[in-house]
Amino acid sequence: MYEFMDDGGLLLIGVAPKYIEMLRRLPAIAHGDGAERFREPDPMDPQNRSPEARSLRDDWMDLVVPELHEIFDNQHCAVNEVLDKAEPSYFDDWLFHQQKLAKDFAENFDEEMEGDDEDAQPPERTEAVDLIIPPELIEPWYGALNQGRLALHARYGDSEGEFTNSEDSSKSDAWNQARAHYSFYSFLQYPLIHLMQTEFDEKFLGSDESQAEDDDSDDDLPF
Amino acid sequence: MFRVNAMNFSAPSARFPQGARASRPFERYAHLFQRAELSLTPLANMSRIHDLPILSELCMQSIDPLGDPGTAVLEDTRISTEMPWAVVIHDDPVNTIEYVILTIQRLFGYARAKAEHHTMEVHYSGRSLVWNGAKEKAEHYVHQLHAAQLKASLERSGE
Repeated sequence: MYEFMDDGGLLLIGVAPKYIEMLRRLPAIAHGDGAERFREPDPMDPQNRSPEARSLRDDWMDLVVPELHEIFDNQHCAVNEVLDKAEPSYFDDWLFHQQKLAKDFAENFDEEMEGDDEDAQPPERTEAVDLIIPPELIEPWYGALNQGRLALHARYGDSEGEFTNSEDSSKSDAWNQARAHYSFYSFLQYPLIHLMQTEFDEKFLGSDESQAEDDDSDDDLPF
Repeated sequence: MFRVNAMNFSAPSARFPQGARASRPFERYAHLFQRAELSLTPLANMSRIHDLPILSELCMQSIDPLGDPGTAVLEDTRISTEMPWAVVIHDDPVNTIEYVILTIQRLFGYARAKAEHHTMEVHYSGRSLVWNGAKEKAEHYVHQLHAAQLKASLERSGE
């Protein structure tokens, strides 16, 4: 569950521990097999073996790739920065108190009915947390998630994008686990790209359009 | 690739006298035209990235369709003796269409419609030439595209 914040940030509500673990694993995934797909990109067609292409490739490895690594590693730092500031979920707390109220009510009801409460379960906290991604970390977060998806797809997926399909019992546990990671990262990217697009539109399309929209909405008023 | 044959060009016509539209006779650069291929990179005097349409469009604009045959009208052009470089984005199964559109918009300053056009070309044709021009600038764009984790490469225009 997520909510867009007024300042352009994103609030992730009630993120379960297993998903936090998936996010913590992002750097390991993005440095594993398949990572060369984006960590060491070829600046020219790999089939091009001309001296010029070779020279450009050498320059790319010496000058550009280290810079790319720094960018990508900073994106992981942005994810960890948010994870380190995770707060116990307000939603989880709310759910806990709802369960507690329900239990109290059930106990009182049972007393009145002279019943027993052997089956009643004590409320449990889920240990879920809320994450706040500030506006300046939206893009690094998107990049970090993208790194994870690119590496996972290079390792486990196929060219048709079949990797995004649902769980497959005929595949290995590692494949299914990777697919779960991939799906979760994709899910998180949707609100992030929405915020990035909104920020871009506001910055470069200006307030004229929003003003026009306001004018239109005034025209639509029934009085 | 916009190819120029020196034999096809003559002095500016009376319809577009010198200075009226910053026209330049091609004879002035005739010695450069002797090369097998010549690129026109009309990037001079462009102040913002947003002003930079792709080279093919600029070249089309720079040829006056109503002028005398054999006469070309150039506006804000400079001539390079080297072939321009192209920035090509390749399809990949991971990056979403929305992300590719946004990245093209942000990087090249294209309008959304144009960014969508290139993205759809990548999606259906496997690749799209998004920009061409000077090598240094092309390298910069490919660097930025790699930083955005898109699959992109440099090519000689016309390859």
